[in-house]
Amino acid sequence: MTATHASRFLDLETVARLARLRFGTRYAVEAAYPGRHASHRPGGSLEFADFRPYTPGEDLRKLDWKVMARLGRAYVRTYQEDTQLLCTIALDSSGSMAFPCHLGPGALSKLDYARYLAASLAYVIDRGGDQVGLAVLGDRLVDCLPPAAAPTQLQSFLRMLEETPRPDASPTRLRAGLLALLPLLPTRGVLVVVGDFLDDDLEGVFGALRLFRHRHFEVLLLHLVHPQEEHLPEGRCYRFQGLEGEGEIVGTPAEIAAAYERRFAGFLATVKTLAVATGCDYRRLSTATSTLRSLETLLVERSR
Amino acid sequence: MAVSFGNPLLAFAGIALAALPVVVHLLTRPKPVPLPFSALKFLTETSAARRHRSRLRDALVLGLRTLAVLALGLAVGQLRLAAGRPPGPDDRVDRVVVLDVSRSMNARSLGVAGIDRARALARSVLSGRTVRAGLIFAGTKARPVFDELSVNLGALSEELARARPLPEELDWRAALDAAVALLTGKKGADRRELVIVTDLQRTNWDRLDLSGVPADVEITFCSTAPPLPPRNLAIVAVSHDGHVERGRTLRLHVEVGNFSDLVQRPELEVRVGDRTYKARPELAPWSRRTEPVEVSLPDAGHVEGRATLVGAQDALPDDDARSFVVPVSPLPSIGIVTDQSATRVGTSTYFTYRALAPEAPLGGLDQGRSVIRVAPRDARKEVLEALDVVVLVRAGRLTDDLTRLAAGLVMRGQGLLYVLEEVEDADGLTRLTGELGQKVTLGLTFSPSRRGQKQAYQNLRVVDRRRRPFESLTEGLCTLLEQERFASRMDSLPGGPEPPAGVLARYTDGTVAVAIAETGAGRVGILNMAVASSTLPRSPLFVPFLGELVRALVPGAEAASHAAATGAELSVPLPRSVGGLAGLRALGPDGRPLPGLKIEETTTGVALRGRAASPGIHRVDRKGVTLLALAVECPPSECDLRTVPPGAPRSCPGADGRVRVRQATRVDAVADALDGGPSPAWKSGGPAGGPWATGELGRPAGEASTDLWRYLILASVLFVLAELGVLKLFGT
Repeated sequence: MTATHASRFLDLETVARLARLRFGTRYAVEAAYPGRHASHRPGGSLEFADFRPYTPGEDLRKLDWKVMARLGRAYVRTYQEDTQLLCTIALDSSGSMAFPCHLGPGALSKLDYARYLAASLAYVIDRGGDQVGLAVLGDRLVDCLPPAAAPTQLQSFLRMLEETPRPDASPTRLRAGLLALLPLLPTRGVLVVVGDFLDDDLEGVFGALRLFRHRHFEVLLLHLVHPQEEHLPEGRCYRFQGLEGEGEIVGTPAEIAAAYERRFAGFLATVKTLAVATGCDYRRLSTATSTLRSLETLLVERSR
Repeated sequence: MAVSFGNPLLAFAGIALAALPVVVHLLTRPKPVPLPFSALKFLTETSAARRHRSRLRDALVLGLRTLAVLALGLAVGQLRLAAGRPPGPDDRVDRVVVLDVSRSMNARSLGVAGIDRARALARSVLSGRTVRAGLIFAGTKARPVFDELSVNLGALSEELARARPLPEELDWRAALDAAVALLTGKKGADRRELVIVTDLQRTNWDRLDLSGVPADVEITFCSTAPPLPPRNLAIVAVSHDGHVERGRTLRLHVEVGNFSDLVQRPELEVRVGDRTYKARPELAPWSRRTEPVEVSLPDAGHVEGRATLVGAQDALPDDDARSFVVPVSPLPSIGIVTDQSATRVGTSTYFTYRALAPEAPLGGLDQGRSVIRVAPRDARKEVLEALDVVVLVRAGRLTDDLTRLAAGLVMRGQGLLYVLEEVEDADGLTRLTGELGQKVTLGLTFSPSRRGQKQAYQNLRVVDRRRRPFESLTEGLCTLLEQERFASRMDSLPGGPEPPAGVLARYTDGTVAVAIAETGAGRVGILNMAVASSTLPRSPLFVPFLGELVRALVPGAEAASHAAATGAELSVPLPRSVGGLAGLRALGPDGRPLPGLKIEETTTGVALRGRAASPGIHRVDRKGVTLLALAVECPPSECDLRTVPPGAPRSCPGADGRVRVRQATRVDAVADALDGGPSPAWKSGGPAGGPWATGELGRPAGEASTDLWRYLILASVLFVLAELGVLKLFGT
């Protein structure tokens, strides 16, 4: 890591611990530059892809002579082409990502957590020789840095993270952002969505993600959950104020906690179900766990 | 609904305290801490239902808590409710005061008679500027002072001052009927009130029913009863056994009652004619004891007497003495018409004669006495007409003349006993009843037994023990009689579709053994028994059995009672021998003619009718000869001075929550009131000088609701329990 990479989201200690991690993909990807990831395009790598009948005019070096001798018909061996990974990290920056903002400036909000996580993941991807981009989603596509092979890509990524605006009271509309992002990205990449998915239109969100999947994107959903979202804080009486302009509710946690937690657990289960149904890789990350540890766990599991 | 408080300060404090839960709730309501929250939409969905539930719970808990405190406060403040519209000072009130003037009102407690208390209480309600009142003196008969309500309260008060207890029992039905008639007679009143001033004597009021009083009439009982019932001793009743004949020993039953909680040994003195009998019975608390007194009555006529408790120190001296009359009949003259010799031992005639004349010397006739033997051929009219009862036993076949003669005797009112032994007797009875025609109501025929001359011994089964002769025999003698063995040669058959009348005893096979048929004049007795063949004549039981059977046939044996109740409507038939009305006088105990009693001719004869107002012996005489004596006394129900529970009038039928009971407690206050002082204090009617004291029969805090505090305490506890239940229900 050079000094140019210096960012509050990526310190040296973190960089040192990320050095041994790799980000892989479970699907074939496609990029302009060769890399270490399998591609659907036939190429010259050693990774066998399939047999196909020989077409006159083809390079005879690709003809499988043993099969021809055995079957009497000419077949060509095809091989996959190893290529670079084009990964786009979509960051949810809606109002709900500001939680918990009541604990003071030193407290880590979900958006901060997401930025730390995105920075680390971007570093791992970049260090693996792949291309990484950043999309900031709110009630629309706020900002976008498409994946690129430029040497300053990571630096641009980190700068953009730094410049991500603090969440306002805008409602979460991931669908709009994702649909806006879709034409900006090439096919067969990886889309990592980091957010809390507190969207009123979950079906719409996953409809948009299905479009990505249709374009052979591998979609990884990192669902951030704060512990106080899972279990309401203890206390006598609170005036719960919505972060996305929903108004406020007065209540005693002791009275509403059980029902709330049941509903929230149902929400988590719904998101997971929709994610699995859409063909997305889903990980729920608690903001109580350090970003580095969460990332390590994520990458180790994905590498198996 | 009128609301008042026994302790208004505490009540208002309690009501103010009811706001305390609301204030505490408002002060301790938690102040919510602002908390920006991301997943608010889940809270919104959750809390919408929760919030309603919480609000409902809070409202319920707060309401129940407030009610609990309010009920407690009202209980401490002694809330009292009274039904009806609160009175206004200018309300036009129709008020009827019923003053109990029964004899028990003369009972004294702590030196003050009940009637004195009652007058004071009644006077306190017979006043008011807008009151239209009526006054009724209630005894056996209700006596309204005026026939309609009057505003002349002064005249009513004067009549009230002259009120005295009467030697009568109280008939509350008559009193209520008269009060309702007064109250419904006039219209235009804002309120109608019935005030009953009484001692609430249990024997008078225990079956009170106010259903007949219109629903809008407010009813108030003013009780003059002292806290404890006064101690009283009384001659409750004087009675005697059966038919009394000259020369026979009379057994008087003097019933003495001890209506106190102490063992008493009063001195009982019974004076009969010129003789005096004394006893000192020991009486257990709250008990009655019948003291037997054996009296010898040498002469016939109306024997008068008086039972007295000498020196009894009790609350009601009026019932320490009781007069009585014993009608003493001369010995009946009996003729035995028979073919047999009366001196031949072992014959039916012999046994019959010995039973009817037990004093006759053995082996001979009791010549000159009242039982004679007459042979059928000697049975002439002039001989038989002088007899009271003719007994036909072994008389053989009756001639037509003798049959007509016997029927004529019965039609004249004489008695006839036919002993059925032989076939001729059954035939004779048939011809006799044929001669009597429709006048006899026997409904039986007798025929020779299916067994022929074979005698079968059977036992007797008494059918009607309430009539003579079995009524005069005791239960034990009847039982012994049923164990004797009887022989009979006649079977009884129904004489028509109607069931036989007058059957008193049957044999075990159902054959009629003893019957008495009424003819409207004399009576015909039938004894279906082979006398000489039965075991009964050899038993001592035969004498009283046959004696009572013959005396049941004596003319006038079932005469009317010679006792009556004071104040009650009388209708006493005079003896048939009286004849017409000429020269008859009805005299009171003091020997002077009584205006309330009349001698009238009725369909059955001459009768004494009317109301006897004063206790003592009343007489009907003609030219100085007493033809009827009647002991008139107050019913014994007035002797027991115990009262009904104070709450009884409030729970009787028809009370419907409009009845209040007030009790005068301070006897000295009553005495003061009698002397023109303040009106008596009330046990629960609030402080003296309240509406009652001024005569305004308004709506003071009433005794009717004094026990409301218990229900309020209970309600408070229930509210607290309900609050806990609500908290439990809502899972808090």
